[in-house]
Amino acid sequence: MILGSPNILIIEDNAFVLRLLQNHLTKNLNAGVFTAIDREEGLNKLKNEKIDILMLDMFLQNKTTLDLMENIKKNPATGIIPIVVITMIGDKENADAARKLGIKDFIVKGEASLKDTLSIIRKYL
Amino acid sequence: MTKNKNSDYSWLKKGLVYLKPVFASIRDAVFITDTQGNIILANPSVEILTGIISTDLLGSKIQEVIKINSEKITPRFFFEEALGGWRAVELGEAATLSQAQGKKIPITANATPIYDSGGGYAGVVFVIRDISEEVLRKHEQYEFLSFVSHQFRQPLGALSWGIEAITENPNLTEEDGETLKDLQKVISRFKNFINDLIDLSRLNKGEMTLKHDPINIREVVENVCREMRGLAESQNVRLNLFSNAQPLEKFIVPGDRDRLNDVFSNLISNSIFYNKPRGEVRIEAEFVENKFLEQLALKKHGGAGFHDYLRRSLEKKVRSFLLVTIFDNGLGIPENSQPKIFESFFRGDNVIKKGIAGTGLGLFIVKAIVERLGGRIFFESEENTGTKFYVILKNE
Repeated sequence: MILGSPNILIIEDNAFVLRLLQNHLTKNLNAGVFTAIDREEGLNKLKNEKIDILMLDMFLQNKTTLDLMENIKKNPATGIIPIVVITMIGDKENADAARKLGIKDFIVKGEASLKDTLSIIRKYL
Repeated sequence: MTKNKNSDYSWLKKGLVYLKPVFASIRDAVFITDTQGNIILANPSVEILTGIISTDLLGSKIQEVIKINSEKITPRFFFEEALGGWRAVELGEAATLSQAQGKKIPITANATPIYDSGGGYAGVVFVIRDISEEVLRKHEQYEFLSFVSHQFRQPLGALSWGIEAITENPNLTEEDGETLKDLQKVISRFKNFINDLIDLSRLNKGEMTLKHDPINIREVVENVCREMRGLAESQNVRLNLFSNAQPLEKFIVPGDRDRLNDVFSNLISNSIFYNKPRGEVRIEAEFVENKFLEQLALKKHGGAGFHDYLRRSLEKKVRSFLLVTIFDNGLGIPENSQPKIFESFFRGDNVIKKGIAGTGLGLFIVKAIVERLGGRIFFESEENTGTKFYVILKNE
């Protein structure tokens, strides 16, 4: 953790994408970047680290993370953390459901560039 | 049971004695009725289809015992047209038949008038086919298509980001940089294709839900054109928007913003791509009445069945429509291709020869979305002169 700088947690089950995002954000932002490959690891880090922004994959192990978003939003300890959801192209339905949960930012894997990703994260730094 | 008083149909019945074994061996349900719809003959397949014993049907009116549901043509209109005796009538796609046990099965149906030796209208042959198996097979295809296209998304996203990350390497040679740019273009085309495939399987499975928000079509078109300005410039094509309208005139109709965006970006990018250097794409919009549209739809491709569409719109008190016209003076669509352009995976020979990339899914999706929004689309085109697409949206 970089002292005084904000922390980002990425929960994403594709190891390649996870590493890519971690490298890219670390290189371009003055922020600490934590990663988690599944729900369990993600929830642990969310609980034990001081996380300022969460990037969450819409699907983890083939299940939507809508329930996870809802729980994080409901929990007073994590409710204020902005969540940026990583979706896939053509998945309007789940994005709409997430929007109803109060999610404002989406990064469509393959449609948004890494540059777009940076500018979305920067809004919260 | 109503019997026709004017004729005993003895000549027809006599003929049918010989034809009975022929009808019996046909797997489609075949009915022969008099001009009023009274059933004179029903083959054994009728029982399997309707769940009613065929002899019980004799003498009943076909329009009362055969319960048909269709999205495209109202059943009443189908029977009225069929029993009018003027012409053969076909029941459009997406029709179902309610069986005696209450189960609905997908069918196709057509009706052909019978004339006696003197040329007088004597009755109608109805042929109804159970297409459950075809529908099931198609559904399996769509499931497969849906699975495959969804599986492609994840690696495509990763590929695209991976390439972008390498592009940022300051030590990259110029040549490698160019290669990566080309790769991004290839990926982007592939992504469009996958997007189209996903839309296609959703449409086919009836999973595409559309909103009916008030949408200003002018705004949608202007946004699309803003995104396409670069493309238009590189193709040396001029975009001319709403020159027929007042400067800030709005064209608001109920619809789904994202999907309408898909519709117009497909149509407009087509008219840019399939244009000539120094060509023009002109987009106009106006609210029109049904009478005007009836004239417009005549002899246009996709205009068939428009009369029934307007009639049903009127029944629902819809009188006013938004007509959006997209003109281009480009390559045009060859005459032999014109009847097929709304089919999936179809592409015109002239554009393939010119090496213009495309999936052949765009117009299929456009038509499906427009129709799901309660609208219609048709066109006219002449090779080497240009194409006009007419999009009609209900103004409810």
